[in-house]
This record gives sequence, C-alpha cells and structure tokens, in this order.
Amino acid sequence: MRPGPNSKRRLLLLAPLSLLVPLDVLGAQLTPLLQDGELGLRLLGVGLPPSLRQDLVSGLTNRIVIRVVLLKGGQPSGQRLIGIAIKYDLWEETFDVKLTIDDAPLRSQTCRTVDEVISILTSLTVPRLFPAGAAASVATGKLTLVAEVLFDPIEKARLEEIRKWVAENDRPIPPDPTSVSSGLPARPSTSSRVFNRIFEQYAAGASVAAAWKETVASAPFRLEELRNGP
Amino acid sequence: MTSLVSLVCIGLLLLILAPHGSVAADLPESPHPVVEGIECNGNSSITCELIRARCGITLGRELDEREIESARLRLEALPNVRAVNIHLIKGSRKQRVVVVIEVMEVNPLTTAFAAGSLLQISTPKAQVQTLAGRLTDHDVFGSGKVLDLALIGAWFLGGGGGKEYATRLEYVDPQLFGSRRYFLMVGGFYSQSSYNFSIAPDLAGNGWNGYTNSGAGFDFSVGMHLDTYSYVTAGYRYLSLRNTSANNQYLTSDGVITTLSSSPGSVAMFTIGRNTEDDPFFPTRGWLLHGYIAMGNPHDLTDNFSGVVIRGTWRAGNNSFWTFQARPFDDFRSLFDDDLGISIVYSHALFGETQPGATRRGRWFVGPGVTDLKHSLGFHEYEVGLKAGVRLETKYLGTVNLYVIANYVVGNGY
Repeated sequence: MRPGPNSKRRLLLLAPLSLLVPLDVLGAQLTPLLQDGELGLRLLGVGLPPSLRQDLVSGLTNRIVIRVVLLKGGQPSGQRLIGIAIKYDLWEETFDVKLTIDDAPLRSQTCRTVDEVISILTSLTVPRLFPAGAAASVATGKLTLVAEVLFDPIEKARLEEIRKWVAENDRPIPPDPTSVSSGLPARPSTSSRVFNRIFEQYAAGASVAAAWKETVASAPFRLEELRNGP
Repeated sequence: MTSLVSLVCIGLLLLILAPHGSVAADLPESPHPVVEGIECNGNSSITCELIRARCGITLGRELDEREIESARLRLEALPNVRAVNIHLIKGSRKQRVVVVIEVMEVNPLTTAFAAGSLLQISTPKAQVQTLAGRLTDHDVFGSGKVLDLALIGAWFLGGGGGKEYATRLEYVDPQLFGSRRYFLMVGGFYSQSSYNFSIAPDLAGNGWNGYTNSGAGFDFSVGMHLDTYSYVTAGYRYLSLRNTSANNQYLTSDGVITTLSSSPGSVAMFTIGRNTEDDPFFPTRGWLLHGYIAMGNPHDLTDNFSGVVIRGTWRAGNNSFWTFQARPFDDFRSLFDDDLGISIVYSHALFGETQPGATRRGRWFVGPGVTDLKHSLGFHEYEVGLKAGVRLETKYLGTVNLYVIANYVVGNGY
C-alpha cells in the first residue's frame, strides 16, 4: 500500500522530532527472563556516558545502580536494586567487577580490558529478581519491567551537605532584584550545569539522582508467554 | 654501648638523608591506598593551591572515595568551573596513589538576553516592546571580582508614544579584603524616559501631555552575610534628575530598582535579604526575600522609597514547578517590569528526560497576575494579566528569556 499525502505529511513532521530522541535510548532493550519460575531481566545496549572509558581506568570505583520496578497492570508491584561496582587496579591493571542485588553479593569477576567491562554493561543478564508469586499476572493487566540505570548516583543528604558547604564557603553575591521583577535577565551563573541538573532531579521527585541516567522499559508481557529456562 | 652509639648514628643519618617534606617517606604502611600527592591539570585562572584547599583531600591519609566524590562536586560549584574529573595514578610504591584533579574552566565572560512584549488589550490599547541584555566578566583580570554591564530599553509601538532606557555598570567584590563575610557593590547608572500621551493629564501645566525625565548617579553598598543564606547591605546613592515637568513624581531606574523620584540628592540605602534558591535562573525550590528601604530627604517623602520582593518555588510534579512572586509595596508598573506585581507561575522543564550535559536547560512558563497601578500617573487601577514565555540556555547567546504579557486594566478611579 502506498502512503497517502497525509501519511507523508506526518512522516515529515516526525522526522525533525525524531532528532530530539537520544540515539542511545533507541538502542536500549529490556527483555524479561523466566528462570526456575522466577522473573529476571536481560538489558542490552544501554546508553553509556561518553566519559565511561576514561572513568573506568581512573582508579576510583565506578558505581552503577539499576532500579528495576515490576509493573502489574501499570501499578508498581515490586522493586529490586542491582548494584555494579567496577574498580581498576592500577598495579595489576585489571578490573574487578562486583554485582549485588539489594546489597547482597550476586557474583564478581575480573576483567582484563575496558572492552570486557563494557561488554558486561551493555549485555547484562540478571536472573531471579522477582519470585513467581509476585510476578503472577492478573487477569486484567500485563506485566512490564522498567529499569532506571544511574551512573555514579549521589545521595540526597550528601548533596545537601555539599550545597550548604558551597553556600558558606563560596559566598556567592546575593541575586539582585532584577532577577525577580525587571526585564533585565539575572547574571548567569557560571557554576556547573551538571551540579544544577542533579539538584533538578531531586526537586523533580527522584529518590536517587545521578549526572547520567537512562530509563528502559520492556514491552508488556504475561508470565505464561515466557519460556521457563534452566 | 658501641652498638647503641652505632644505632643512634644510623638513625641520625637516615633522618638527614630522608627527603624533607616528602609525604611518601612519612606515610604509614596501609592495606588501603594512601594519598601521596595531589596534582592539578587544565587549570589556568584557578590556582592549584585553591583547588587543593577546596577539595578537602588530605595528604598522607587513606583514600576516601566518598570524599573524592564530594571534592569533585565542591570544585564543580566553583565559579568559572564547567567540570571536574578526578583520577588516580600510581604513587612511589604499591598502595600509594597520587590524586589528579582535571579542571575544565568556563569563559568568565557570560551574556544574557531578554525580549518581551506587553499587550494592553483594554482602552487605551498599547503595545510595549522591551529588549535587555547584559555582559558580565566573573573574573576581572583573574582577580575573582565581577564587572557587569546591563542595558535595557522599552518603547511603545503605536498608540501614544514614548520610550525608556537605562544602563548600569557595576563592580562587585564578592570577598571584600579577602573576607568571606563582607562584599562590596559599586555602580554607576543613567536612565531616560520620555512620553507623549494622546490621553493623559496635563502633567506640566502648560498644555503639553508628555514629559522627559533623565536620571544619572552612582551608588555603593557594603554587604554582610549573616548566616548561610541571609545577608544585609548598607549603601549610599546619589541621584541627579532632569525633568521637563518639575514637582512631579517619575519612575526612575538605577538599573536595578525602579523608584518614584521627584528630586535629586543623596539617599542612604539599607537592604535585608534571604536567599535559599538553588539556581536563580531555573529555581527548583527555596525562597527569596529582598527588602530595601532608602532614607533620603525627610521633607520629600518620595525619596524615602522602600520595597519588598518575595519569591518562592516548589515542585508541582515531574519536572514542573510553581513560583509565587509578589512586590506588595510597588504600586506602579515600570516599563521595565517583566512580571505582574503579584503572580503565580507554572513552569515546566523542556528537556527533563534528556541527558545532562548533552542538552542545555530550558523551561516554558505561564501564569496569571495582578498589579496595583496606584502611582501610575495618578490613576488608581489594577492591571490583570497573563504572562507566558520560554527561558533557555543557549550556546552562543547565553541565557535567553522570551515572554509576552497580555493585560487588561480594570477600575477607573483617580
């Protein structure tokens, strides 16, 4: 069937809009897994911060938190936190990768190259997150898994401490009233946008915020539709 | 005895041979990495001494990764710093590390622009166009002082006529004589307004329905931080006025505050304020209170102007905010005002879900408001209106604010 003039117009309208969608988000894919009657996930192609390769060899621990929420009929029915800690040993020149679920150790492995670590992050399989009872489908609604991936998250309390420290030590000049009531724009701030963005995430209601985060959702599914693996 | 003397001699020899100030030699053995040194990269206007002082990492102590993360955020909050990257390199031996702090600085020159329209839809119909801009150097000659030039102009498009503009050059020392408690602001200003009304009172008593008013002067204020968020200032302002219509009150802008003035002279100024907002351009929470009182000529009440500005922001939902704003004692509207006296504004982030750093920030906003026009040409009326606009961080123009105010004047009492 050939597209009509209306379809073409719609496509033309969608083309510039599609440029606004980050490309890495388009690539990310979340698939539910059923293993021994328990629900897990496979996360493929998650978007990584551009500085990650450099960060991984910084000698400091890189922490990634994946908050997985199970939605039943659109309503949250369970949540698990997957933690990934990656530390580069400056002397051995190896990467120690540790996975936890709700702070309980799951597995750890040693990688020799950055590419190996990136391969783990972009093709992550975590089985047995939700017991079958919790994941059982209801008659009216399907299940959805949503994963929020946060790189090096910062706790709200610590950010508050830093904010107070900055206010007391930087002593920025108080804003002049032009920023409030005059057509003159206020003096632009020269401080970091990333710093301000983390504040915005908390202000927007996030319980954990990070300078880089990505949210991926699975397609709606029923437990019965999944093949039970070993 | 000989052995004891030999031991003392060897000990003294080792002490002499040990490099003075070498952190590595003094460090205890530890199973955890110990900080042996701190290096800086990429800094040009900020000294490594300042970076070391601000990061809070202590030499010779075990590496605390939480402290490293806090140091990064503290350094990123420094003016002129865009981003900070911290990594470790090997020290003199295993479990000794050197912390390398890489700083990416921003251009200390910043710009901001605003363009707005006011559409008065009741009689007399009018349209006012406003353009404003400012250029700020946040680090004059690398001294950490601020120099700011602000320009604003407003003019009527059709219906009567008139124009108004103001300019202000201000020097700010955020840390007067190196003090973290005191700051200084010194400014010079010039403003001019001229009006020619088709329907207006005979202002000068000579049959001409218009006036030209110009004001110039200078001011300085010394401020003091009271605690984390509160401050007071005391200052002096000299205003020189030229009016074509004497003995009348006119709105005069010093580039910061618009006041009613009828005579030139000296004015003593006091300000008290509190500011807990996290970001003045894109606030997400907190509040601001700014009050000022001027003690001018006791025989001329118009020199004793005072005012209060209140603003509070709180979360409305995901990536959206409410902002309440009021200027309860400003019972007039200056052409330069880009708000309605008492208003509540809803704003929503334009790029809420995109990655930070990759996209610049932006918000659209809309909100109703009302202004008391008691001292606008003697009419006691109210202006009811709606303001809508967009505020963006742009790559080449700095922060840009575009808005439209549509208003309707109600009441006809004198």
